[in-house]
Amino acid sequence: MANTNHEKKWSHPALTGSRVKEWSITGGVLFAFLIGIPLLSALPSDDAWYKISNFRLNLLGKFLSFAIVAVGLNLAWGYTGILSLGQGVYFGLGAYIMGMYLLLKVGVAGHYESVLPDFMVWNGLTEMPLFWRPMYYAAVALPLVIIVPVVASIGLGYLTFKSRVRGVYFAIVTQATAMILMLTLIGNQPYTGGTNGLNDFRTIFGMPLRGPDLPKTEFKLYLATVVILFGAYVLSRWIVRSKLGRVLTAIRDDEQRVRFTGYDVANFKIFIFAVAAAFAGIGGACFVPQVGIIAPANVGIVPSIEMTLWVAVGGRGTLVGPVIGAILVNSCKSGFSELYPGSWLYFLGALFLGVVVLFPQGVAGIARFFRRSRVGEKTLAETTVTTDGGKKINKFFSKLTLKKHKGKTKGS
Amino acid sequence: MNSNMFILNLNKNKSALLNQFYFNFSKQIAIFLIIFLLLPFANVAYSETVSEEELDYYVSMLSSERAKVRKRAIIELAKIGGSKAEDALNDLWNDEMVEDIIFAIELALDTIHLKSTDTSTRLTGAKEIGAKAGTLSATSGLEGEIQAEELFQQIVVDPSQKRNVIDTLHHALEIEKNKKVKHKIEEAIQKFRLGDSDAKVRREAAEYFGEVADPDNVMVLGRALYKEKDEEVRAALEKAVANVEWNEQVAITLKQLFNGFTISSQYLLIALGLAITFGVMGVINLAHGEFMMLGCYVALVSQSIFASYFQPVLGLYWALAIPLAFIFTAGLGWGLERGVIRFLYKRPLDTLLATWGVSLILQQAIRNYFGANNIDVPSPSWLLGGIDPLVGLHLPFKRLYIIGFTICVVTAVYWLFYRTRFGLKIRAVMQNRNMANCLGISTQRVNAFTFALGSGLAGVAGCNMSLLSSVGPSTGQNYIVDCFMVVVLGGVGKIVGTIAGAFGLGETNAILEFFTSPNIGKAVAFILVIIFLRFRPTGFSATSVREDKGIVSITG
Repeated sequence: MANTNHEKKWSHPALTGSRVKEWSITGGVLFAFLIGIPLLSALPSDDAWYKISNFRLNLLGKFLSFAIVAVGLNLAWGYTGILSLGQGVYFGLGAYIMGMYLLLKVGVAGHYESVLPDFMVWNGLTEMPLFWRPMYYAAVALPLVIIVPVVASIGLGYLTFKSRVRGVYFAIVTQATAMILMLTLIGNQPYTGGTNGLNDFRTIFGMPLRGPDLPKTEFKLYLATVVILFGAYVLSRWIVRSKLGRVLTAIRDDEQRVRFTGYDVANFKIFIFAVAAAFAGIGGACFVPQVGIIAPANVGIVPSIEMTLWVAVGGRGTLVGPVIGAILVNSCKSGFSELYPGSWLYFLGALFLGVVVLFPQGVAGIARFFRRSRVGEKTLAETTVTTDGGKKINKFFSKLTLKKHKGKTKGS
Repeated sequence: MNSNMFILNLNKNKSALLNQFYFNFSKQIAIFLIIFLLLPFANVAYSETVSEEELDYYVSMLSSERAKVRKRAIIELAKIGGSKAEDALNDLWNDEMVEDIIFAIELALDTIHLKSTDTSTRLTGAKEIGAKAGTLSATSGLEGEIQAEELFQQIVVDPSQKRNVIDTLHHALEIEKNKKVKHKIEEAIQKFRLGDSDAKVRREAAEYFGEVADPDNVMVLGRALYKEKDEEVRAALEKAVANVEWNEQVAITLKQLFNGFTISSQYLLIALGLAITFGVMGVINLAHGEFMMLGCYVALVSQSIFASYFQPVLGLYWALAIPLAFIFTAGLGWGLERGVIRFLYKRPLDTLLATWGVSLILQQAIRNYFGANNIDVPSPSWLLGGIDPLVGLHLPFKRLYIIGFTICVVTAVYWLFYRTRFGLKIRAVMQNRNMANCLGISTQRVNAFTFALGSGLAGVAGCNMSLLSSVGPSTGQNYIVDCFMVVVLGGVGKIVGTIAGAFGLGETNAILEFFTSPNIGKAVAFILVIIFLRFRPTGFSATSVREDKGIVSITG
């Protein structure tokens, strides 16, 4: 980095080197923990305190696939200020493509002993729809898990960011996209399975998704999810620490100023929104084999907004926050749903209100507050992300423009 | 009365209307034969000439074991009419097993209804006769295989009864004053004529149906066409069917547009509040839909209050529901603004999440208190019914009321914005908050007031929504995204923009829905709105709005 000697002067927390280091320690601990849990459980001894049941492990695996989505959303929202209330769309696209691949692997073993998936048979289809056909091959389906969400997000980004639609306006447009996907899925029952979605998968890459060997498959899927999540984490860390990441943070704090400095803000936004969509798609693909179903109810407006809550609870604009948030919120959700089914929505509503009004930095903010107050550096109020942060970045940009960095950063 | 002459007359004619059976019967039978024959010739009025004795006599004949006797009695009772005959026929209808006779009883009852003094009874009578006439005409010429294909049995109606019914219809047509009933009677007569043995009569009837072009008759015409052999009549029938189908298309299209208009009005009422708050404060209230849903429940509660305490004036509950819904939701909105949103003005994105939290809590509260199921709110009685400007096009008063109400509210808001001092302040804050603040306008008060106003409008819209559909905890969520898209499409800052957005989206939706399905139609409409944003990010209203609201004008 060319500007290392400036790092200490930029007092915004997201830009300081010490901050990233701090999160890399937390992240390391977290991932060691996530890998450690199943490995310990795999030890031969029975009933040890550190063992968790297959059910819980599978549940954790599901949360981790959500965490992948949250890491991506955090890049868009926490670092660039693009709030997407429609992240479920990209999650859903990835998940449905994975689901299509898994369903086609069922082959003639389905209930109707047809090449077509069961729901197509009872919807009266006699021939495989064209857009299903490429999904026979993992080599096509797996890249599509990323490509389709990316293309969709670039399309939306092009239509909105290029017209300088942003902020609240953009958020409600993304909410409409969640509605669009849900309506399309429900409205095309013969091709998408309607409200029931895709389910009843048999195998994944030759491993069974039902029967006595299921825990083994789940174990492997869990490990795969942790590895993918780690990859997403490392990638997002890399993006945030690069010069690109600084431009993104600058866009969050004062978009106008960045534009006036000569950057094409829209392209940066489209890029990071596409990255977030790719993460969401991968998260969806991890979700499907572990949960065994993907339905419009998993991708609509309500789950999409919950995705933002994961990021908000964990702490937006921090690297590990979204992972913690996704695990925390979803654990609470399954815990509450088991114990007090009626009151979960009250709790969720209160969580939305509380995290926004009282703890805008989420768990990470609270943790930092305790650490900083111990050292006596900062108060909670100062760690809050506000648009005032823009002022602090002015210096950074005055330097950058003088050096004409525009061309370089654009390509990164 | 010279009964012998008539018997002789009958004997000579071997009238097609009677068969040998009746002729051989006793004296009593002769009496009704006379009356029967007299009626068509003299066009005598019905019940006055018949004594109580005769009535009792026919009623007693109804219990005869012989089907033909019963049939006769039914025909006679139909001629006599009156409530007593009607009751007797109704009793028989409950016990009767023979298909033909049941049909005859029904026909007789309809004939009696046709003579009623009550307009709606006459209308149903005429309608029912019309329907039966259609069935009769359609089956009259059918034989063998064709009949089996038609899937319903050929019903044999006694020619005399048929004759009697037709005569009654003609008579009723002459004395009828009500246009609607008159039309139905005319239609019934023509349906009988459609089954006539004379090709010319059939053609005339077919031409009549071609002119009326009521979609309800398309089945009858289709069946008539199916068995028709005469070329000219076929041509007339085909033309009639084509006419009916064209009319049906026109009626459906108009109906779809009208329904789109109603929904657009609802959108407008809800989106107006959103657009105002967004314009003034730059925040979107995701709980707006829940305020609307609360409005629905206010209507429900006021209805049940009136139902239990002010039963005689139940229809007036609406006069309580509307203001109550406005005050209730406006109060809640005011509380939400003061309690939560005002702390978040610097973080508009967070407002979205906070208000979403509020919406979840409101939904769950309603679910706990009223239950998760959808509830129907009985509409006030004065809003039931509607008008039929075209054949096949029914415009319910409810929907007309909603359109009218929306026009009133929008006019009121317009007046508030452009003709009052407070409106001036609101517009000043909308244009430049800091400058307005400097000039002594209390922006805090303006914020709270506009938020309360917007929420109140949502509540009132909710009241109206209870007229259109049943009410449930998730009613708000079903409409809210549409209303956001209206705001996006219409832009903020000008009421006209919101109006254009609401009707643009509502009608586009209605048209697309017609060609695809409700789900796909809506999805395509939303996609069109997003594509539209690429070309006009500020929506229809092209005012330049301050940059920090998220949409950007060219002037920045």
